Amino acid sequence: MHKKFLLVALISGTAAAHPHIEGGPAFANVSGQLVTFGVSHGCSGKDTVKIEVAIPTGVTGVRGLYGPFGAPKATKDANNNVTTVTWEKATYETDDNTYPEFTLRLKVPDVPFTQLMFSVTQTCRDATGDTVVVWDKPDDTTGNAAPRLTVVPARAKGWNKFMLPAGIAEADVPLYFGDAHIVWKGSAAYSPNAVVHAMIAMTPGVSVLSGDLAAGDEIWVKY
Amino acid sequence: MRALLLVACLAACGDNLKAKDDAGVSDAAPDAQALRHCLDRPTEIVRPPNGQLPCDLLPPGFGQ
Repeated sequence: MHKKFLLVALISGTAAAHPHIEGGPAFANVSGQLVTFGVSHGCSGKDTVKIEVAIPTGVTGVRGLYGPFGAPKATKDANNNVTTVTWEKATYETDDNTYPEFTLRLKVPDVPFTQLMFSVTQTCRDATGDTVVVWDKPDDTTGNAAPRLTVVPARAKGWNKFMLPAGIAEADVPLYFGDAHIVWKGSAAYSPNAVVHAMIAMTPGVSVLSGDLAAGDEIWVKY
Repeated sequence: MRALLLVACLAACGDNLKAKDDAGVSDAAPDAQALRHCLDRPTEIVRPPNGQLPCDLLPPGFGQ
């Protein structure tokens, strides 16, 4: 049956909107976090009837929440780790006007300042049959982009000192520090807030943070 | 006599109302025009903003 779905997907192309992860980011190495996937559209006007989420390696403690399609089903590997979670409904709507959400409770590994890709297989249905779209590519330039979960370190409100375990490209700084008040590396600072950013530029002895951050860099972040 | 008391009472009431107005105390909300952000009234606050980062946005140990 699964092969049939995939075959239809190859025929149908990619005329669907991204399933995406709502909210976030997730905190590294913290249990019991809820990650919700939103499915904006079906496939070429067909109603979504099944969503299968593949669990990335290292993500543990996975449980699917009851959703609009009812109870999820999980598959597990030999170590009893959940590998996929699937929600499916028996009937379909005659049009594509719904916005279903599907939530997982999980623990992400200790990989702050990274993004985890969750491959999603979406099945849509109408009277003519099923369409299956697989969302598993790193970005849209290579096909159907998989939803990504941004992982940041656990932190406290106020000042936090981090040593970066991996480098961060300059373009990704807003991604990982979008909810920070201000970020410091030495005498260079970044803030997603435009007013604070202007203050950084106006303060003698302080520069606007630019360039990539390197593994091992020590930074101060105020949340 | 009754007429005199009535006149005195009315006069007293009038004085009380006038005194309340003169005091300038009101339970009404302050004029919205008087509410302005600190940046818009730099001469009225103890430490006027200068456009630079305040100390609470400098990390611990900064400048040492």
